[in-house]
This record gives sequence, structure tokens and C-alpha cells, in this order.
Amino acid sequence: MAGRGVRVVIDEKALRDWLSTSSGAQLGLQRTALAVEAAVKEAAPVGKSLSWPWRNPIRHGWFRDSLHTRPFRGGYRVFSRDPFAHIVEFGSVNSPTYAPFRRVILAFRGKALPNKAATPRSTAE
Amino acid sequence: MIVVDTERLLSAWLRDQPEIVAIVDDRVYTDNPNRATFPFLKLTQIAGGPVFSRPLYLDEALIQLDAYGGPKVLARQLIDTTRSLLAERFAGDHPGVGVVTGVNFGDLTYLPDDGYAPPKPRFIAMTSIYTHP
Repeated sequence: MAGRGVRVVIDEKALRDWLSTSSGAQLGLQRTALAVEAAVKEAAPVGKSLSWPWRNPIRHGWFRDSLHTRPFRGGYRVFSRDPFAHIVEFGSVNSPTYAPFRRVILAFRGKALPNKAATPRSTAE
Repeated sequence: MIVVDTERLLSAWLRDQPEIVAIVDDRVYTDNPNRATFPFLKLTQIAGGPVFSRPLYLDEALIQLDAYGGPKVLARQLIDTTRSLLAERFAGDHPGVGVVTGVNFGDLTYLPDDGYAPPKPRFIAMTSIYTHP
């Protein structure tokens, strides 16, 4: 039936302002961010230090302990302070691709999912 | 029903493409080789799963493509060629293995691999592939 469509224009600035000032929205965002942080910690590999402190290594799980959440532009950001976090996420010649952040973002139905369609679904059976 | 091993399907298919062979010969891996010859292409399934549990039929695999140079320009050529081939030719029936019903792409990232000294040029692209037996 023609003429039943509804066009919605989202005022992103107003939405951002509301998210950053509404106590209910802030509580929801904070809870979600903490849940994401906990899930990334769960998905993170726990490495065993071989070198620090010298001859008596005790500082294991450096990457897992480096994960934090902080307010960011009206929302929250989950991040790592480990300078080698990119190796854990994307892999290297010496490390598998653990991808803890992307796996958790996918689990939360976030935008890490590739969403740019290259080919329509084929008709092949 | 056994879902498709997308990593295996994709690596074998890429090794058969003349455009890829022209750049990397048969060096398409699913793990970093011990003594690598550059350039090469690595693909890793980092996530994914069945779209529906019953029937266990349609599967989505999220694959990370790592294109290593050579020089940076060769790494870029390799990742561009790979994505172009996936977009144009990969969907369809692959006899004996399965059927590819869709390919989606994520963002492209330049992230040199600093596990090597000096760091090796590397482009990373994400792709999501839908398959069924």
C-alpha cells in the first residue's frame, strides 16, 4: 500500500546531549560498558611473564589487568593501557590473533561486524 | 549436518586464483610460517557461528585477512586484489566443499607487524563470509 512509509530524521546532537545528561541513560551506558569490559577480560588471553621482575617474574596477565573503562564524549570507553594490545588484538608473527575486543563487540551485536555488502546473496543452491 | 570449514575453503580457493598466484605464488597461509618468504597472505577466522541453530546449515565466518609486503605498495596491491576477487568471484557453488552465499567487507587497516625487525608492512581487512553445505 502506497504512502505508509514514515521518514525519521535523527537529531544526533540532541540525542548525544540527552545521552550525556540523562541519569537513566548514563546508568545504562555505564552498565553496558562495564559488561563489555568484563567480557573482554573473560575473552583475553592470560600471558605468563618470563622477564619481570628480573629472575623472579610475578606480573602475569598484564593485558587482562590493563583493561579499563572511563567516561568518553558523553558515553563510556573500554580500553587497554597495554602498549602491546594491538598485538593481542590483531596478532603478529609471534602471537595468534586473539581479537578479544572484536569478539566481544560482535557478541554485543556491535559495529565491528562488517556491514558493507559486496555481493548480494547468490541464487546458487 | 556439517557446516563448511571456511578457512580451508577460502585458502584453497585463493591459491587457485591466477591474480593471487602472480603476487604471492602459493603463499596463502592460515598461520605465520616459521621462515616466511614475502609477500604472503594470511587468513584467520576470529569469530563467527551458525546463523540458526536448527537447522545447522547457514554459517557465518568472520575472517581477518593479513596482507604482508614486500614493500607497502605490494601489501596494498595484495589486499586490494584479494578483496576484489572475493567480491566478484567467490560467491557460488564450490563443488565438494560448499556454497558461498554472501561476502561482506569491513574496514581496511594499515598495521605493520612489529614482531619482525624491522616491522613488516601489513594491511588488515575484515570480511564476513556466509556459507552452507
